[in-house]
Amino acid sequence: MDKKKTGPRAHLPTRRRLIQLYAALLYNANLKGYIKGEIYTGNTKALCVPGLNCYSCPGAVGACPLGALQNALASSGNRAPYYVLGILMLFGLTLGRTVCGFLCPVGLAQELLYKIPTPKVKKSRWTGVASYLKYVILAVFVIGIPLYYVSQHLPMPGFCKYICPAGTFEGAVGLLANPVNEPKLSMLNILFTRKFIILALVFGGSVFIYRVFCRFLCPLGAIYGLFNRINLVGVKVEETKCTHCGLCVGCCKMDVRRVGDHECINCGECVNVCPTAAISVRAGAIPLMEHPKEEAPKKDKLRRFRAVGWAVALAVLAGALLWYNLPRKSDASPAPEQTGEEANPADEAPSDTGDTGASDAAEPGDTGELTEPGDAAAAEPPAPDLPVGSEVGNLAPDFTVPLYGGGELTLADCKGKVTVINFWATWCTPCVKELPHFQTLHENYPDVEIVAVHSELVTDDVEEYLSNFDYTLPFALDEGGVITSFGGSTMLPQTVVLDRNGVIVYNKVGSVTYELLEETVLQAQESA
Amino acid sequence: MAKAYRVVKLVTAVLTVLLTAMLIFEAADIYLGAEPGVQMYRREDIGARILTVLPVFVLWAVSAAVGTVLRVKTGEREKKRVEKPAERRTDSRAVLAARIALLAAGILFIGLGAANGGLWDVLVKAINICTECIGLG
Repeated sequence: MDKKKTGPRAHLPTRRRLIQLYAALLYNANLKGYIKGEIYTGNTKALCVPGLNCYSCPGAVGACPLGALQNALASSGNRAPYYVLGILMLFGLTLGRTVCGFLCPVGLAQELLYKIPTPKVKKSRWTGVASYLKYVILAVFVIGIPLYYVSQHLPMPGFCKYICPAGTFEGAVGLLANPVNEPKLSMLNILFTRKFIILALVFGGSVFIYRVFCRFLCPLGAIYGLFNRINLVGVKVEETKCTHCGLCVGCCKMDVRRVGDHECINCGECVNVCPTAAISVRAGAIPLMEHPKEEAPKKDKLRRFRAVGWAVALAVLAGALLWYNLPRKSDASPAPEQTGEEANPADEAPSDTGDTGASDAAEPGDTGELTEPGDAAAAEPPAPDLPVGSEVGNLAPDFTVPLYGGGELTLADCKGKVTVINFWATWCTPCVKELPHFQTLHENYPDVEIVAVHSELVTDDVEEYLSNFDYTLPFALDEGGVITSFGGSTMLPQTVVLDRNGVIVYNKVGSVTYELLEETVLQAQESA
Repeated sequence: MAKAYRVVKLVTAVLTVLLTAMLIFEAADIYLGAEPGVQMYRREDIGARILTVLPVFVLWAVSAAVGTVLRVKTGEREKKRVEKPAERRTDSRAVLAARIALLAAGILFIGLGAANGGLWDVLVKAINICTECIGLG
């Protein structure tokens, strides 16, 4: 039998742990996002990473496959979700639940928490039954809810919205911990409270129960589990050597009934306990991890192979860190503020926004507060030197946008009227939900100019989408990235209210209620 | 040493439960104490609540660290268990056929997805902050 490591050496990070850390860092290589409090908006986000990693995390450089799947299902009224299904098929075929064991940051976090010494809850018949809960979550929250809301033209990522602790931790806490995003705290509501409680329970549970989220809740693990019998990279058993002693299943902390079944995360913990060296981790026919007895004769060859592998992997990681974190042109500081007299509509076009057309230079978030009646900025007529900007009290920058249905709208033409500008998109659930408020406002206040400006990032035929509703308010397309001149960028919806003089009295990212809209409009009418 | 380790394990367990309960309580309390029309989560309020939880968190972290050191020193390992494995049924031909079919379908689907705008959909969603996903509402 092999000589077991003892003492502190036995507690050194294993190769698997190093791979887990590597994957977590590679998925979140945009380190400057944490410092700037912004998410990455480059083209690599079109690619899904294999593990669960929220794409609203400031560091994320790829898309979460589960979030992408839900959104693809939510858009399935317009197009079949081929791309995400294809990606999941390839990940499932090549890796299966090896992703859970090696390439998932959420799995890594749970394993580290489980290492904290406390009495542990061992697997039992009950945990085995509970492990099927994730299939229910997959059916209801990942597939059922998005498909149900397709008929209502509402993109609804059920799992992300109601359960996902990765979104709460990486996205919400990751973004809001940065003081730059303090104004976004005003957007937090019961949804965050509920999700934070789930996060706290997963955190506490992970200390006592091995991979509590993966085993009982994770729908991505459920999907990959379906591929576990045919995946190329994973734990394989040589039937001729196996004595069915049960040591492998006994040592496994997951709810496996046999090595390599749908619950097996292919971690390879069982490789060393097999007395007959029947178990190995393989990529097809190539052994990646074998019993020490089997590895001993080819130790030098393996060492060289692994050294080359790690060298390549580290080079990729170093390249990624440099690529994502080196300063770019778009990181340059914005142009100095103009005054009302100097303002020129042509100059208000947003700066080059990089690969995707979305700005990552502008500060997304609340750019102002509702002014109280009698506030200096709102009550006084605009002075000629009033600065043009996105803050409350600034003169709104002028713009011209094409209207759906023909014609165009120029903001300067709206002077003399209270104007409401709503930035929205068909793919944004809160935007779509609040559109009826603007329609009601439009009906109740015909003297108020209202325009709903769709993001320049268009995924659906907006006119076809609007034909499903009876909206009569004007809809426009943000062709030149007007939203950036109002301080917005990567977060929708955003609502801006201008008084009759074109001075901003309200500019906020996040959903609005009809009452708030009406109150703001009335104040804008009184103030000007 | 072994006795000290057992005690630390128990203390850490109690502190974990306490910390989790406090986090849940503070979050629920913010929600229940919120007044209509007033911002629910304010930085100063969150700061005060973090300060309330912080001592327990520090104790928990210290206890976890001490426990980890003691575990290394005592050399505790999990006991070996034996469980009868379920019967394995593998049909290598069926597996190979499934692999080829899935590989072909996967590549085809990715191509179709790139053509029908699915790739663009993923990019657009991923480069914008999903307010609902992260719990901002």
